[in-house]
Amino acid sequence: MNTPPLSLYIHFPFCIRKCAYCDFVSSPAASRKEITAYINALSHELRLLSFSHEFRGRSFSTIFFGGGTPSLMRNREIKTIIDCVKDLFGIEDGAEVSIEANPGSVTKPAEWFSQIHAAGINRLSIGVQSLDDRELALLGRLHTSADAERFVHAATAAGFGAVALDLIYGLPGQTASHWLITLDRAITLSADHISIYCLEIPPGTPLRQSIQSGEFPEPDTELQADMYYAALEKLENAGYKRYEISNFAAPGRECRHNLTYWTAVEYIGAGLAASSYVDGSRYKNVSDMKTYVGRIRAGRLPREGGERLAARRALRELAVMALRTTAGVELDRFTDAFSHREISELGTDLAGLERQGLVIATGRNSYRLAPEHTFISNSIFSLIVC
Amino acid sequence: MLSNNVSRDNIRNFSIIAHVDHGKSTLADRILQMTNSVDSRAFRPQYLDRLEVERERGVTVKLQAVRIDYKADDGNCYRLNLIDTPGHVDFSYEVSRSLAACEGVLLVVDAAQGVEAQTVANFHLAQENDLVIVPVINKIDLPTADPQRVKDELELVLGIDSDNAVLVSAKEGIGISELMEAIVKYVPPPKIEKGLARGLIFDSHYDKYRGAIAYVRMFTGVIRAGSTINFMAAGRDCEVNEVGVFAPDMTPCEKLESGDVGYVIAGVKNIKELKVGDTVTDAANPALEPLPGYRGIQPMVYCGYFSTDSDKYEDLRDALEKLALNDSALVYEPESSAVLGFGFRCGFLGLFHMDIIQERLEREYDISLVATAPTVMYRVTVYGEEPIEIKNPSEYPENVKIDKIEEPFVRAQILTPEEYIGPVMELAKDKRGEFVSMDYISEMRVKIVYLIPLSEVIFDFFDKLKSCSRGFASLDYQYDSYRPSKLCKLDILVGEKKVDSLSMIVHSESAYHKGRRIVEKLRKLIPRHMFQVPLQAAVGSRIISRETIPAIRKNVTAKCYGGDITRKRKLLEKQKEGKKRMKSVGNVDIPQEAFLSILEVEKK
Repeated sequence: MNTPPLSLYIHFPFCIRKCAYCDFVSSPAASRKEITAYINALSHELRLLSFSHEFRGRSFSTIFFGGGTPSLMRNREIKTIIDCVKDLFGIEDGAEVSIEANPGSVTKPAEWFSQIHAAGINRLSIGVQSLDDRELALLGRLHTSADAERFVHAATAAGFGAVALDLIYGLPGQTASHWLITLDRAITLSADHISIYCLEIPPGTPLRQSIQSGEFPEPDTELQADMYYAALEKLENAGYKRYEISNFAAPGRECRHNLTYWTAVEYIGAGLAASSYVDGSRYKNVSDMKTYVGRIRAGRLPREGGERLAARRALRELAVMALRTTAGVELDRFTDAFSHREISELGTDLAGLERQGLVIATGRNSYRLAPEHTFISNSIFSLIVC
Repeated sequence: MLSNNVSRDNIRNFSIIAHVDHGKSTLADRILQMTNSVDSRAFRPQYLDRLEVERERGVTVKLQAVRIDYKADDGNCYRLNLIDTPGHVDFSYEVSRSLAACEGVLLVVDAAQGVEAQTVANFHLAQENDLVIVPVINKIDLPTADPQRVKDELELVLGIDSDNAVLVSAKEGIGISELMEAIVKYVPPPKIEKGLARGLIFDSHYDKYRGAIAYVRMFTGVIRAGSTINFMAAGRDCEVNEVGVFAPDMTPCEKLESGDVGYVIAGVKNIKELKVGDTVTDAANPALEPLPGYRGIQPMVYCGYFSTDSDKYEDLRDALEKLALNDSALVYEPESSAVLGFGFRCGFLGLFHMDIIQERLEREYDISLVATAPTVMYRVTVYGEEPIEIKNPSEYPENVKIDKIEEPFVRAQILTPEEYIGPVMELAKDKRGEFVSMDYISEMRVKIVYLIPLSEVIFDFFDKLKSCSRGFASLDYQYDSYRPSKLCKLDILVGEKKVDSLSMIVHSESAYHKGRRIVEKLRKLIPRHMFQVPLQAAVGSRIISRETIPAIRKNVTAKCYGGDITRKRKLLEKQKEGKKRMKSVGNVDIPQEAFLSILEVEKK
C-alpha cells in the first residue's frame, strides 16, 4: 500500500540554562533522574502512538530531535529512542534523522558525535547563533564563538556530511557590519545549510526586561530588514540557495523535516508541548511536565484539545505555509482534498495579489512570494487567511 | 399624602435658575428632604438628576419637575411644583422651556462668586416671561461668602430689590424654612382660568413600555384620564391612558387642572408625534387657539455620527429617535460618507451637549461611534444664486465662484474681575472677536461684550477663558447674526485620495496651521502599510502640508517552533481582524481614532 510520508518531531525540554530570549517550553533539569524519567515517558508515548490505527504500517521519512537542548541527551538515550521508533514504526531507508546540538552542552564532542552517528543520527543542526562573544553573552548563550567553531569542526571530523548552522540577527545594538562578520565566519565553516532567524524577544523574557529597563535598546526593525536582505545576497553569493523565508541550503541539502511543516506533510510530535498534524487535524501535547508524565502513565496520549479547521480555513492555512517556501504554492495539488469552489476563490485572491506585485505567478495556478516582500510576508499572508 | 383638593390659590409653580455650580441641584435636594417629599431611605444626592451621565458629571442636563406638598406657617397646605433646570450654557433652552410653566423663579447666586454671566442671562429670561424673581444667596457658610457684596451686585447689575433676598446654605440646610415661606409669600398662584382645556407640553420623555410621556403645564380647563385629547399643532386625537404628577416619581391622579404641572400618557407610540411646545386640549370640547409655543431651537453645532459596526445603522437610528424625544434640541438626518458609510448628521446646542449624546448612545444604547469633526452651519453664496446653508463640509461648493461666505457669530458676555481684563481681551481678539462694550458692574468687576464667531467659541474658548482668569471670569452667549468671514475648506488627502469625513471649514489664516497639525496627527495614527502613504492637507488644489508614512519593512514570522502552525495562524488572523476594524480609503486603512483626532486639533 502506498501511504503518504510521515515525519516525527521529538521534543527534549531540558537545557543547562534558559537563553535570555527564550520563551519556549524548556527549563533546566532538576536532576539526571528527571531526564531519565522523561526519556522513559517519551518511549511510552511513542508506544501509545504506535497503537493508533492511522499510523499502522507507516514508517518515518524524517525525524527531528529538537529542544530545549537535545544534545544534553546521552548517546544511550538517543539510541534507545531511535531503536524504539524503529521497532514500533520503522524508519525508511535514506531517512533524514536530525538533532539540534548546542556548543558547550557536550563534554566530549568528538566521542559523542561518533556515537550518535552510529546510533542513526545523520544530520546536525548546530545552535551557533552568533560568532561575536559580546553578542553571545547578551543572548545568554553558554559558549564562545571559538567553542562554536571547534564544535562544528568536530562534527565534520566525526563524519557528519549534513551540518546546519542556526544564526540569529537583529540583536539590540547589533550593527549590520557585525552581523555580516558573523555571517562571513559562518560561511567559512562550510556547513551545507544555514538558517538565519530574526531575533524575537517575547514578553517576560530576561532580554525583554533588559530592554524595558533601558539596559539595551529595542532592535531597529528597519535595520533588521536591511540585515535580512544583505544576508540573502551574501549567502546566495556563497552558493546557498534560499528555500524558505529563513532557511538556506547548498543545492539538494534542504532540511526535509523542515519542509514537512510547509508542505502539508503529516507529522507526529512526541514529548512535552510537541505539535502534530495528522489527517487534517492539529494537536498539541500538554506543556506541564507532571501532567505529561501522568497522562502517559495512565495510558493516555498527552494531547490537549485539537483543531480541525473548516475546509476554507484549512486550505488557506496550507497556502500560507507553502508561500513561505520559494517553491511557492501549487493550487492544483489541493484538488483531491478541497472543493473546486474553495480552490478557485483562493486562486482569485492570489491573482489579485499578483496584480499588486505581492506574489509572482510561476505557472498555471502556481504562485510564490515576490522576493522583495519576503520580510513583510505576514502583511501579505493576512490578506489570504480567513 | 397627596390631597387633590388643594385650593388653586395654594398652588405655586416655580423654577430654580442659577449660574452653573451655584448650587441649584443641592438646593432642590434640600427642599425635597425638608418637605419629606422623598422617602429618606430612597434619597441620594442630586436626587432629580436621573441620567447616569448627570450624576457622574454632577450637572443637570434634563429639566425635572416635582410636586411638593408644604404646610406653611400660616397653617395652610400649599402645593409647590418645582422645576429643576440645567445649568450648562449649552442647555439654556431647557431653562426657557421650564420658565413657561412657572409664575416665579428662585434666582440662586453663590455668596462667594457673586453674579455671573449666566445669572444675568437667566435673569433676563425670567424677566421676559413676566415671572416673579426671588433672589436666593446660597453657600453663606463658605468662609469667603460675602452676601452684602452679592446683594449690591444684584441691585447694580440686575436692578433687583435685594432686601428680600433669602440667605441660605443648601449644603448645611440653613435658611431653607425661610426660603419655603418666601416661595409661598412672593410667588403668585397660577391664574385660574376655567375655560376650555389648554395645556402646554414643556417636555417629554420616552418610556420603553408606555410610549411617549408628555410633561404638561395646564393653563386653563381640565384633562382627565380616560378622556380624549387633541394635540393641536400635530392635529391628532389620542385617548388619555393616565394623568399624574411628579411627586417626585410619576404618581397617577384623576385629572390635571389649570395651574397643575404633571404628565399625560396618551398611547403615543411614534415619538415624533409628540412635539414639545404643542398645546393639548379636550378633543370633545376643543380650545379655539393654542397657547403660544416656544420658538424653534436652532442647533449650534453639527457632526456626523457613524456606528463603528456598519450593521448597527438601524440601531443608531432608533437610539437617536428615542433620545430626540427627550431632547428637542437634538436634530439628525441621514448622511452618507464614502469612507464611513451610512450615518447621521446631528445637530447640537454645543460640544457639551454633543458629548452627552455620544456618551448616552454608547452607554445606554451600546453603540460604539465614530464622530466626525464638529462644525457650525455656514452660509455660502455662489455668484448669482441664493445662499445655501452648509452644515457638512463635504457640501461645500467646489470649482465655482463663491461670492460670499458667512458664519454665525454669538454675542458673548464675559464677567470678570478687572485685573483680568487684559488677558480676556487678548483671548477674545485671538478668537477673532469684535469688541462691543465694557461696563463696570461693581468697583472690581466688569462686563465685557464681544461678537465672536461661534466656531471659535465652541471648542476651547471657555477653558481658555477660565485659565486666563484663574477661574474667575464667567461666560454666557447667544446667537447674534451671520456675518461674512474669510473662510476656506481644508481637505485631507490620504494616499492621494480625499477623505470626505476629514474635511473642515476653517478661517483662511488658520488653514496652514490646522492642516499641518492634522497631517502630523494622522501620521502617528495610521499604521504603516506595504507601500508608503502620502498624507496631504489642501485648500482647493493647493497642497499646504505634506507628510509621508514610510512603507512597513518588517512583518515576518522568522520561525515556527516544532511545527506549531496554530500559533502562527492566530497571529495572522489577529492582524486581519485589526484591519477589519479600520476604514479604508483606496487601499489605505485608517483607524477610527483618526477621525476623532480632528477634534483634538481644534481644541489644541
